Formats: sequence, C-alpha cells, structure tokens
Amino acid sequence: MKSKNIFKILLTAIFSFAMLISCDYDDVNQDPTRPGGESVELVAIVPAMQTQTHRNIDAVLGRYAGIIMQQWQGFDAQQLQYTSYVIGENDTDNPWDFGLYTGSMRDAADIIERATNSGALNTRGVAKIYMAINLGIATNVWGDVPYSEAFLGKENLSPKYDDQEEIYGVLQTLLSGAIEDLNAEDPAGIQGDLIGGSNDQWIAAAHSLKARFYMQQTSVNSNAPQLALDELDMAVSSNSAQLNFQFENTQNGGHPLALFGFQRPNTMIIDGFFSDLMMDDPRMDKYMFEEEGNFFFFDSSNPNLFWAQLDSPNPVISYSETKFLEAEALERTGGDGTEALQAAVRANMAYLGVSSAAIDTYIAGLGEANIETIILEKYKAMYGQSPMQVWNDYRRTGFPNITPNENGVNGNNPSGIVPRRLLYPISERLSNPDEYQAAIDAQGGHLLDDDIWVFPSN
Amino acid sequence: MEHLQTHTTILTFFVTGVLNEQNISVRGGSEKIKYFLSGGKLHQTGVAPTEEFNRRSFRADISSQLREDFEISASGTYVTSGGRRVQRGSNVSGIMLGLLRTTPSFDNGNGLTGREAADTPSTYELPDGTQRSYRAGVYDNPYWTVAKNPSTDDVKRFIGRLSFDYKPLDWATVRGTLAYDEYSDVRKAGVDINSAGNPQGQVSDLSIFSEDINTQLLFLVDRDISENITFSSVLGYDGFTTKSLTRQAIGNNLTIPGFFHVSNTASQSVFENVGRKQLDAILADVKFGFNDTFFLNGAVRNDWSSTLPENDNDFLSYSAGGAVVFSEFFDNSGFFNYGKLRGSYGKTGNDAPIFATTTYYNAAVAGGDGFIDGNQFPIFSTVAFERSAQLGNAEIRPEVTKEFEVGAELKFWNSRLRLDVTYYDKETTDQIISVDQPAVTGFTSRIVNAGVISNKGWEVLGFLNPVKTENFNWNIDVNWTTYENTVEELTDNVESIFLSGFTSTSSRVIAGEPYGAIFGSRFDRNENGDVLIGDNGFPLVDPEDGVVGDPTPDWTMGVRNTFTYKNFSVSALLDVRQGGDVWCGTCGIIDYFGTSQKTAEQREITDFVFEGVNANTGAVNTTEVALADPANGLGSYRWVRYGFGGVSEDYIFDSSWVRLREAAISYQLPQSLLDVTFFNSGSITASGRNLFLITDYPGIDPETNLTGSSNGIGLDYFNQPNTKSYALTVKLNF
Repeated sequence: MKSKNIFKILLTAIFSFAMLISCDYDDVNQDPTRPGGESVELVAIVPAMQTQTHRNIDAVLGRYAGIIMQQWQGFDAQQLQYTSYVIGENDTDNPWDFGLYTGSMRDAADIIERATNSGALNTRGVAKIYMAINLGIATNVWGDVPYSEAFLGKENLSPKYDDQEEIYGVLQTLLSGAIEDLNAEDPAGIQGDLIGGSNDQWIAAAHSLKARFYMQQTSVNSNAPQLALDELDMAVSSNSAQLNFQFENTQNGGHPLALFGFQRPNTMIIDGFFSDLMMDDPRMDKYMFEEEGNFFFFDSSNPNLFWAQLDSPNPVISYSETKFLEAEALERTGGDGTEALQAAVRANMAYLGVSSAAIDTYIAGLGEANIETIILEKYKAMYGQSPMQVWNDYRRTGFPNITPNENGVNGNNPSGIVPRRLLYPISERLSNPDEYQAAIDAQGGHLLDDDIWVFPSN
Repeated sequence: MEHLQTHTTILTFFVTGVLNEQNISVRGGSEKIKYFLSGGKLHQTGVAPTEEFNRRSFRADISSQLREDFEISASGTYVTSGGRRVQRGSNVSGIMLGLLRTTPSFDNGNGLTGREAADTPSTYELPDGTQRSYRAGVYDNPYWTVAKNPSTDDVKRFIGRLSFDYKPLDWATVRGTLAYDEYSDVRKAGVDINSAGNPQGQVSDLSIFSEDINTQLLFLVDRDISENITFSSVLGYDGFTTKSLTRQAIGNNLTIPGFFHVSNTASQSVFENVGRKQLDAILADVKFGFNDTFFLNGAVRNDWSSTLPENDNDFLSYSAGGAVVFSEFFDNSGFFNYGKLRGSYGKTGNDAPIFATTTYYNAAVAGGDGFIDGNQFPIFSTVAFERSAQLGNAEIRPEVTKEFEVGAELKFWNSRLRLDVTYYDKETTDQIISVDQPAVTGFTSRIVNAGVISNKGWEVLGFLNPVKTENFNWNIDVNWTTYENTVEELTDNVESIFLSGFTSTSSRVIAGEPYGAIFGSRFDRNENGDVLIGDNGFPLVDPEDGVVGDPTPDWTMGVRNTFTYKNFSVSALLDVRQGGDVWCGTCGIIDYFGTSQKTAEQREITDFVFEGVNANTGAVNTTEVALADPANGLGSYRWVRYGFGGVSEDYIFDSSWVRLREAAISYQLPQSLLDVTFFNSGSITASGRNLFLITDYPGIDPETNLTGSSNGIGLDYFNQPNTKSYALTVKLNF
C-alpha cells in the first residue's frame, strides 16, 4: 500500500514538472542585447551605409586599385604579392562579402525597402545614391555582378549575375530615381545623414555621379560624352558645395588609409612611378614624404599627409573630379577642355590646401588640354580620394602609360599585363556555383587579364 | 623542428617553467555525519618570460544521515586562479610570429636571452621609446610582447551541490539534486604605445560571468524480480539552465605609456553580450538481468529546449541494448575464462544554438577589409545598427543522431589477457549548421538543418599481464582506434562550410570528403595529374582552390607499460599516430620571408627542374630555373612568386608520430619507515611528459592545432610548441 502511494506522489511530482516545462520559453530565446528589425529606425541605418561606403572607397579594393595603378607598392608581407598581381579568389572575399553585398549594399537595400514602406522619400533618394556608388565599384572591379535578384535573403539563394551593360542602365535609373526622390515632398527630410548635405547638394552629387558612369562607357557608347555633358550642367559646382564624409580622429572612427598605416605599418608605400611623377608638384608633401630613398604615404605624426589622417575626409564625388569629367567630355565632343581642366586642377589643389600662388604657377605650365593630359592630371588629383577611378580611367584610355610589374605572370594573370579586373571571390564559387560559372562563361573568363565589357582593351 | 633549425632565437627565448603545488585534505566524521575538507595552492611560471599562473582551491563536502531513510549532503568548491598570459595568437604581436618572421641574423634578445632579456628594456626598446625589432615594426619583438603587452586573468569559480536521498523502501530511492556552477573571469589586456598592431596603444577590459544550474528529481528502483532476474529503473526530471554575460570595454590611444586603464585612453568602445538557455527533460530507464548471463536495457528521454521554435520545441531520444555473457554456457575455467557480446541502438536529439530563430540587428561595424579593424559604432557621436549577416531560422528542427554499436569483451588466462573491441556506426541527419550563402543575398550565412554526416570506427582496448610474481608485476595496456568521419551530403547550394583557418587555407566540411578536410590552393594539373609548368619553368597555380589534405589519421594507438618491483614502479606511455595531414602554414610564411633553413640551403640552386609538363606544349618539362636569383627580382623567387605563404599544397605534410607521452618512476615509502612517523602511507614519484617525439613533420609538434580543440583540425600556423615537463611529487597520508 505504502509503496503505491509513494509511487503516485512521485508520478504527480514528475508530471507537474513536465507541466512547468510547457511554460513560455520565448523570452529566453530572445537576445536582450540586440534589437529585432521592427524597432530599428531609418535614422539608425543610414550612418552604417555611409560609413561602410566611404570606407569601401579607400579600403582593400582602393588599395588594390592604387597598387595596380602604381600609386602605391607593397613593401612587406601580403602587399608585395599584390604588387606582382598575385591577387586570387581568396583576396576578394572580404570586400565583396562584407564591404559591398552584405555591407553597404545590404544597408542601402534595407533602407530603400523601409523608406518605400514608410514614405521617407528623401532618405530613399540618398540610399539610391549610395547603392549606385557601391554597385559602380562592384561592376568596375568584376564586370557582370548580381543586382536584379540580389538582397532577397532566402527567397533567392542563388541570384544571377546581371550583364554589365544592364548594370550601367541600373546605375542611371538609380540616380534618376534618387533625384526624383530628393525633389519630392518629404516632411521628415533626409534622416540620419552623417554628412548633413542639403537636398540640392545630394541632387548635384547624383548628377556628377551620372556623368562619372557615362564617362566610364566611352569605349562602348559613342553618346557617352554628350550624355555626361547633359548631366554636368546640374552637377557639383564648387569645392564648398562638394559633399565630404568626415572620418574622426579615433581609431574606431578613423579613415581606412590611416588605419592601414597604423595597423599594418610599412607594408605598403608610395610607388616609384608616382613619386617620380609628383617631384616638384605642390601636392607632393600632401601625399608623401621621403625617408632613406623610399616614399611613405603614412606617418602618425605628419599632419601634412592629407589623405592619411584618422580624420581625413572622403568625398561622395568631388568638384574636381566633376570638372575632369567635363574636360574629357568636351574634348571628346569636339570642344576645348582646357578651361575645365584648369578648374579641375585648381579645385583639387585648393581643396588640399595648396597656396594660390603655387596653383597659378602650376596651371600656367599645363598647356592645352588633350585626353592624355586630362587623364594624367586626374591621376595625380584623384590620389587618395578614389583610387578606383584612376584604374577605371587607365582601363579605358591606357593613361598613364604604366609598365606592368616584371613578375606579373602568374596563374591568375597568365599574360602578365596590368590587371583588367579581379577574380570573383571564392565565396561565390562555393555558395552560388551555377550563377558564378554562368557569369564567367558569359564574359569569357574572370582572370586578371580578362576584359570586362565596359573596358575593352582595344 | 628541422624546418626551423636556424632559429636558435626560439630556443633562447623560451625558458624553463616551474610548477609548485601543495595540497592538503582531511576526511573524517561519525556514523551519521561525514566530512571532507581540502585546500590546495599552485604556483607556476610559464615557458615564456613573464608568464605566470596561480591557483588556490578550497573544498568542503558534508553529508548527514538525518534518519534511517533520509540522507542529505552538500558540497562546495571554490577556486581562484589567474596570472599573466602572453600573446599566442596569429596576430602581429604573437610571440611565434615575432620569433620566426625575424631573420636568424637579427638577435631579438640583443645579446640577452630568456627572462633576463625580457627584464631589460634595451633588449626591445630604443632610446627614443620606439621598438627595437626586425622588419621595422611590422611584427613585435617577442620580448616587447611579453614585457609591454601584459595580459592578466582572474577567475573565481564556485561549484556547489545540494542533494537528498530518501529511501522509503529498501528497493526504492527518491533523489533530488541541485547543482550550481558559477564563475567570473575578469581579464585585462594592454598593448603599449609603439606596439606593432596598435602603435597608439590599447586597453581591453573583459569580464565574463557564467552560471549553470542543474536540477534533478529521480525515482530509482532496484529490485530483483526473482532469484534469477534483476531489475532496476530510473524515472525522473532533469533540468538545466545556463546564463552568461560578457562585457568588454576597449580603449584606444594611450597618453601615459604603460598605464593600462580606460581613463588613459582617448576613445572607447563597449560591448555587452548575453547568452541564455533552458532545457527540461523527463526520462525513464530500465535494466533487466537474467542469470547473470543475459542483459537488456532500454531508455527514453524527452527534451524541451528554449532554443527551438516555440511551437515545436521538443525531441525524443531513446536507446535499447542487450548483452550476453556467452562464457556462462561452457566451462570457463580454462584458458578462455570470460566472453561477452553486446549490441545497442539508439537515437539522440540535439537542440539548436541560442538565438538562432530570429534575424537580429547588430551595432553597425564597417568592415570588409581583412587588414584593418572595423569602424565600430557608436562613433561620430552617432548610433547605428545594421541587419545581421546571419539569417535566423524560425523553422529549425532538432538534429538527430542514430548510433549502432556492437562489441565484445574477452578475457583469457585468468583475466591476465583482456580484449575489448567495439565497432560503431553513427549517422547524424538534420545537422544544425550555420551554412554559407552568397553574400549577394544580403546575408552571408543562415542556420539550417543540413546534410548527413557519418562516423564509423573501431576501438580496441587490450591488456596483458605477462609477468606476475610476488615481487614483480608487468602490465601492458593498449588502446587502438580508427575512424572515418565523412560528410555524406550537404544541403542544396552549399558546397562547403568553413570550420576554421584562413581564407587561403582552411579546414572545411565538404560533401563527399572527410569532415574537416583541408582546403586551399594547389598546382594546376592536366587530366593525367601532371603538374602544368609555365614557359618560365615554374609550376602554375590552379586559379581555383580545392581539397589538399585529409587531417584524419589512419589510426592512433597508446601503449602503456607498467613495471612494479616491490615498492618501486615504473611506467611509460607511448603514443603513436599513423597518417593524418597537417598544413604547416608556418613553413610557408618563413619560406616566403626567407628565414627558414630550407631557403638558406636551396637559394643557391640555379638548375632546378620542376617535375611536370609544359602547359602549352604538353612536353615533359626540362626548363632549368634558379630558385632565388636576385637579378630577376624578389618576386621571381620560388618561395615568393606564389604570394604570401605560398601554395597550400606545398605545405601539406604527413603528421605520423611516435612520442613518449609520459614516463614515471615511483617509490612507495615502506611501512618500516612510516612507523616512526605519524604518516600512514606515502610515495615519491618522478615523472616526465612529452619526453621525446619522432616525426617527419617539418614544423613544430604536429599535435598542436591552430584553433585549439575546436572542430577545425590539421592547421599549424605559428602555433606554440608543446612543452616537455618533469615533475617530482611527494604524497603523504595521515
């Protein structure tokens, strides 16, 4: 009898425990240190998109472009291999994955979707501009890239790669949409903008960017220069109207070039081609200093180095670049680009803080504009602000006429020429294999010496 | 270490560590109350200068028989430990990087060695306060690291247990247990001004708090059904909760050198992470025995886990087994005296990682550059969030492992020869893994139930007692294991999953390959497997990476011999591993830097012909090349031309080894000696660990693994060597 009772009591005890189990677990499995998507406002996502984008411009992809274009060279460790074009499928993972697609482009796509739902049109306009800047970088580096099927999470686990010609159409559509959104009535205005630009400033930047993307097509579209000129009427019109993203004087908030200088000291320095070119240029001290025959782009205690301070800026697109685009577009449409070239150089030097006397002297020596002078001057002016544009210009004009690295032949670059693109990252080969292969087949390869559509080598 | 032999600086850097340990314990009590008290103290100096570790522990166990049928017990252990650590990791302050990436002709110690060098600032510091290092501050001088980058930890841990046993009947017990395990781990790491990784200096304060609580209420029955049939069973509840809290403050840019406090930093970032989980289960277990010959058992358990989606949060596990002692059927007094066959089959479930059902937003960090730190928000006096790169899964299911096992236990020669053989075949389906997905989807990974992983293997335990006399005894224990851990399939669109390593060489999960396969760059080959050689005479690298090694050993074996003669005993444990690839990442890097013995010996070679065929003509390669001709530029060198660390395939080595893991000689103090003291017994033991290692592997001890004992295996990248140790132990009981 006794044992039966005990057994009953025990069973009751155990099953009442089991009843307790069915209590609410939901709270336990919610991370209290991170918000879910519903509680995050646009104002909190815009700064992430902007910071990642401006970092992308001068971080690893910028360094590859600058090294390939012989503004920098490797001095030790990995940067040496990049200098001899050993840049493989492993070396493009980080910028593709976390710089662009699950970085700034994710943020831009997220903002565009949210702003569409909430009617925050001005903010959506800025997000479209940033999407265009990043998509532009992606297609400059890799040609065909995913866009139309991208950013859908598990709804589409293998987004296709869009043809580069279509991507160039998308870039214009994004920027036209941005202009429309920024002109629209939106009581909330632009939310979360770290730069604090006015709607008009952002609209002007969008026109400059449209011109930049048209001019990138000079080899494949004979209307490109005229289309660019049409945009330039409404583009960025002075250094003071230019939008600059300002990094801050802390390691956390520091400019990527300064961070590289601090954290990877003496592994990358100024290339001899560039230091020779800049001899006697009033910007030389703003870009580099000499020590024992080598030229360095970074020194923690040298305040003159304009682009290598923790709190250096990064322009959305500079007034100077806008004028370079104009000078080239004029030359290509039978006009004279000399005045625009002079304005471009003047704007760049003034922005860097060169004295007006030195600027005048320099400009007096420039002479008549032609494509080669324009691109060479642009090469000097774009240092540090957007290395990708320098590589783009080289690939479509052949200027400046740099000599390929003497050890530049390797499995990724069989012909040893100055690279025309980078390899798709290994993450795509392993996780999006069919579309990856289709894109490579469509472009006839993806090695460093394979052309992308917009920059054919002849 | 043959690859590293020119590096005498390694040998002069490391020092002899000394460990001192004292323990004392008291046991006693009466019929009704029993107690056990102990205390211990340990002090250890490490093999790197300045490395130090201390531990103090206290323990008390008490139990009381309150009534004939009711006993309660309590125990508590408190341990406080910590010390000063050194940077071991793969970063520019890692001491192995500093040691090996320095050319042998540069003396990191500046004429001094070991602790003396670390204690003398002129070893690693120049008069202007900057660092004295080879390679101009790319990597820290290891003496700088140990002297100027202090890292301390302070761990306090309490483990407590309360339980009662109520025995209302002599065959029934009710047992309740509450077990509590809590620790705090407070760490501080300083990086002084002018360090390679952070020339402005840094302080990191990290605090980790963790608490695990386990509650059990069990009803145990142990009752023979008849004279020939035994029966026992357990029915009960088992609950587990765990909570953790991690807080970190990182301050950058010091003003006062060597003062590692957040108040001395110009900018800070702070982090807080929480982990928590609850698991509840009810369980039942029964065992029958017949005539001591046949045994049957069955168990079932149902778990509810907070980590699974709320509407489908439980999973069932069960197992059934049987055994037969077949030696009962015949006369077992002869040479073969015992034989048992056993078999079992079971299914177990497993829950998901915490917080995996939701897609969160994280404090934004601008990253995407493997060379520099991210821009971590809040910065610019602004808050920013961004969607996590990992997609949550609200439909995650528990993973299931099914295991089938058979075994035999055989004893011969009065049990002086024993053999225990087991074969197992395990298959895990619906494995919960974070799989990579293309970043172009806006996420780089998602948690899914993916794939099938099988693990089959043999385990053999052997024992032989070849000599047994009154004064002399010799025992041989052998264990031998082999297994195959294969990834049978993965989910759609997932070709491989990264476990650990680098983007260049990693340990991965790849369908059809052994678990943890080593993946990296390799030479280009034609269909016949010939390496393709370029017109310049150097092999070409396949633009696509692939599997280059299998880290799973063919088999491993341990053999322990123990000899006892009167009061003396001698034992030795030999460990053998046959096969298993290891990637010597260290070798690739020091070849690249030209600091290895190999590059010193081969740099003069000017007529080397690589084996393979010309990539264009298909003809057997005959082109002679100079391995390192300065006239062709540094980039042309055999060890530089393939980039930093070379081609992964070049640095995959067989790691087979034989090592003397442990050897000891021990002396039991004779009673005659003890009689004149108040001690009851005592012993003196001299022992050593890792006394020798025989291997063809060119790097340091191939047993070390980059990521510790985590899933990824077979990676050696500036790992710190294993240590050889000697110990003298004196034990006295009273």
